[in-house]
Amino acid sequence: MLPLHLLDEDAVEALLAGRPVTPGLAPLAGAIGQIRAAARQPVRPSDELARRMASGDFSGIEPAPLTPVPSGHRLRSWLAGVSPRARVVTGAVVVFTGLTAATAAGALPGGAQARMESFIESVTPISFQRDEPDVDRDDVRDAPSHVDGATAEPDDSGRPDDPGSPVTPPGKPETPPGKPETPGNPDKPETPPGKPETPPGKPETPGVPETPPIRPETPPGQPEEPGNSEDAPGQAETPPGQRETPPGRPEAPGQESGNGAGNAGNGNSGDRPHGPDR
Amino acid sequence: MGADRRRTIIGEDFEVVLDAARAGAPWAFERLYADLAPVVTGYLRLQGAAEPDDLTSEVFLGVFAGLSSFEGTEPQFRSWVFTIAHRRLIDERRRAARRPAEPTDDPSMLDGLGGDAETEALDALGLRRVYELCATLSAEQREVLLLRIVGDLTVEQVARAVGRSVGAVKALQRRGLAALRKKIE
Repeated sequence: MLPLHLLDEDAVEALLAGRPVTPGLAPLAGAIGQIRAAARQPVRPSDELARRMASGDFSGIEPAPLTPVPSGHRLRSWLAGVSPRARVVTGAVVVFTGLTAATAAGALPGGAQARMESFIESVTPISFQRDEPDVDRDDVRDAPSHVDGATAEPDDSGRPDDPGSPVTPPGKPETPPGKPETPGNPDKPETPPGKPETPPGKPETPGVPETPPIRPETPPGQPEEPGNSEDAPGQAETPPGQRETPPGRPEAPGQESGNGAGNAGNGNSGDRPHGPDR
Repeated sequence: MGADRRRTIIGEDFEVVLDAARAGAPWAFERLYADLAPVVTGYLRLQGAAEPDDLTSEVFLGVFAGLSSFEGTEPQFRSWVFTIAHRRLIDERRRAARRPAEPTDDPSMLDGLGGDAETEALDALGLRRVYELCATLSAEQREVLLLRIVGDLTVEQVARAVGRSVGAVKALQRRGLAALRKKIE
């Protein structure tokens, strides 16, 4: 038998059109001829058709359409032809896809949205993290709040660190004076040269402007706890000059970020969210 | 154009016949019916239609009722008629609530072929063989190959009739022919 790849398009067309083919394809051509001949049996018209053909009157008969079948019809035809199991699977896939899309768009009602998010996250790689930034923001706000009192120096910079001012972002005072990140430019550590609080080593690390020098004072495990503000002041009472990263612990910020992504994330996200807020 | 190379039976008179049929001339209907009804019935039968003769009559009722809106050549008319036949077949399958569409090997299907005994026997043997061949094809392969072989449609016409791409039709006919070869050899 000739391999399939030898049945090129020309050979296929010759076979199907009944044209002469190579001897190797003769049996196949004969089979095709049999099929063609078998489909040429005369057939009598039905009584109705014979009557209408004789009269030439086809009124009341729905004319055959000239246009292709709409895709919706084809879909229905396909559904009508598949097994019940395939229909169920198709329906389930359609429903699940639709629910996933609606969940991603946040279009479901509250409880259903949460349940669908958790369900989808459990059965697919999709994760819905739109709430996490808020958590970070809260954490950051909390964490700096307990060092609020300690950071008296930011007052020198003229920052609105007024503790009484509700507008004062809790995180602002902690922002090392040496890194007065403009709220909108967290990446720009425009360290004012005159800031005494800026640790000597800090200016060389503009790439880590988010690391607040206060962090070292805060126990690594308790930075986010607002309740620790009692403790924090104790540390924050460190003289203003020492409030920032003590020379002996310059790597503390790094440690903090190593302690947990939450801390490092807090520092990062803390600066960013605050910018727009203020 | 491939379609114009296709087999024509009425030939140059087709326009005249078509015009006469539109005008309601019985002879023109009979001419068109005699030209295409046998192959349409054969297609429907090999596709496993329960009542291919009746279905053929339904097809031609719709075709003749819609003649006034048809414009085209004989091959295009042939393609239109087979497209209608294919759709009616699908409708019938839907109505039959999932009756298998496989061609039958039941010898009773070969009854009533008419003619003398020898011819009938030869026809019966030929039909049995054809049914066996068609049974080796998948539903999609059979659909495409029968429209090409029996309907004498082009690849493009088959693609339009069955709602598939030209590439898909080519692939199906190629695989179908390979399956037939395997069965034969």
